[in-house]
Amino acid sequence: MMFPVLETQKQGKGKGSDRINSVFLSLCGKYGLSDPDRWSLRSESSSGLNGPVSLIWNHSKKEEIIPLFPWRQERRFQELARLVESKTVEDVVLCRFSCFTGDRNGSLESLLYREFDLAEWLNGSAIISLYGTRGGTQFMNLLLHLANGAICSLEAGTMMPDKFSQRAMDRHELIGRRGVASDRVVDTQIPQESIYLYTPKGEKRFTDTDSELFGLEDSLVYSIRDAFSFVRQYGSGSNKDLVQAIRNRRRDHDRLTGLIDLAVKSADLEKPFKVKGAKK
Amino acid sequence: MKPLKIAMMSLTHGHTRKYYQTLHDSPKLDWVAACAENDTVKGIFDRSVSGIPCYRNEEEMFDRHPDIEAVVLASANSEHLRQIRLCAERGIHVLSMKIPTFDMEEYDEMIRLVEEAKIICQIELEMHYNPVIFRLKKLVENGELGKLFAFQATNITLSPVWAFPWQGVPELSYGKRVPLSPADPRFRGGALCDHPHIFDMIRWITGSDYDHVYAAVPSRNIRSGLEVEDTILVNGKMKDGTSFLLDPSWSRLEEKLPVPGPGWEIFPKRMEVNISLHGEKGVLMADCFGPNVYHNGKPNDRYTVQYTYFDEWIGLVDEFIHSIRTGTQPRINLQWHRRSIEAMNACYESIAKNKPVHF
Repeated sequence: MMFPVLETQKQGKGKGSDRINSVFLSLCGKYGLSDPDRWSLRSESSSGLNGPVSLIWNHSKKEEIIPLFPWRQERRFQELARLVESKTVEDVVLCRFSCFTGDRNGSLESLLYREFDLAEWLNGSAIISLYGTRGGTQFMNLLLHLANGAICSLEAGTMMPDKFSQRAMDRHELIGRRGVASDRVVDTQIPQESIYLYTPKGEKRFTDTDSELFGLEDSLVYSIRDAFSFVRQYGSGSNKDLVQAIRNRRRDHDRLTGLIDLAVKSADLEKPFKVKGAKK
Repeated sequence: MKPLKIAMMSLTHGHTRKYYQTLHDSPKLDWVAACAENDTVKGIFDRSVSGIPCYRNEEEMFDRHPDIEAVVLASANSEHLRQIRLCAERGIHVLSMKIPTFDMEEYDEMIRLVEEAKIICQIELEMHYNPVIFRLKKLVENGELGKLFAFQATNITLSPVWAFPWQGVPELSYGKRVPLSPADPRFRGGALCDHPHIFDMIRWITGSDYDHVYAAVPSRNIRSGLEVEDTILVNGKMKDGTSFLLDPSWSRLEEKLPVPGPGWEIFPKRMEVNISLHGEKGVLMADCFGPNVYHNGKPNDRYTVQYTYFDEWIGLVDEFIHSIRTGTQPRINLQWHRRSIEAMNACYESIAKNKPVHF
């Protein structure tokens, strides 16, 4: 018998929102979060890279929808952010990002949304201008300028055949004046996994990083973690702080959506664009 | 559920720091006190943790906090029997470090003390709460590999002796001074004593028991100045026929830091538990602490693995609390772990005799 704390496999038998809500509420209950019933998760459709799951705050007979940024809960990105924040890697000047998936994992726009957010979040600095070119309809190359003076290349596409798109083939490298940090090991091109299983039926790969939420697919794990993190931080404080936190998330969401529009415009016109309102 | 009042004792074990966050974060716990082995350790604790009173005397801690229900024994192996006796006398539950003792008479005394006092004693074998192990166990149980033929595992790390000196002192680590073999100037108590996990995991995953072990050490250590072995290899078979090869070495070099921290490792990955399984239907390879992220930044500008795992302590502590509150035995208790300790002792015996040791 295993001892997964939340018994996600039992609770996660339902579909869509029911499934993720039962796990989410169980996690809130385990950590004693107050009034968990005020919160719920809504799964809008099937999984995508940016996990179309939203956090809902039910109050005063109204629903407030709070955007989630699940990738910020991935351990690898948390550790990369920590390396930059702690100045273990000092003064990042160049970033190399790439993300290749199949189109069943989400649209090119959803990839850009995630990667733009990672560029800003890992650097702690806003994108102030960008230049993009398209390769067909499903691929885009971009150069980003950040407010801290760093630049970032981004290769993003959804042209991986379905057979190979179980997991995004992505890479995030941060190059500082002292040190380089990356989520991919030196001298490799593709992500490594925790387990490789080889049988006559073929190869299977597994990477599980969350004991408490073991058994759920990654996109749900990170969505639930992000929602839980938000509720834990703001759910029991003042409504003023909570409202401000919701505003901040919506502002980030609007910014990222605007950046996607700008990237499309840049690629269509083959012109660099400054982000409106962005400051150096 | 009422939060469990918990304390930490000694604070000299290499895993001590790993409890800090869990003890602070879990709403099921109320961390009330700690007791340090010496003034140096107390100073390190006071700089790392705020709001928890740290004593220098165990009796004083218990007297001042009579509400303590459980302790984490974060101490040298040689202290465990005395501390378990102290806890049993007071009806305090125990979360013991991974080696209760290597002396089997002492071990049985611990079992007796725990049973008579009707306290819970869970052994800290955190791999049982590792998500990669969850997956691996599930794949084996689902028959993906069929009957297992072979099990190989590494449990290799840097040596903790510079930060936790007792791990290099035979009497404190192994319990007494026993030469590895008649002609060997080194003693029992090194890398093997630090790495019981794979001796436990093979039993957990195969569901079988040891048939025999054969162990070997090289003629010299990697490090100079150690009294105990720093590398060791183990071959053998389980009763179900599974062949195994285990490597519980300190085969990754380290900087001699007095307090573990960034820059401790010389080899990029300071700790590895890799398992490979060969069965009638296929092959499985697992890295229980990977993949991670990587950097060559401060302090030494060396290529370094920055770990992304380590929530094993959440599940481990959850089970400890659950066992105490429901009065049920944790899976990893003294009785379960006894056979793994016997197998580790048999490895030393095999080295001494240069022969396989059968069970």
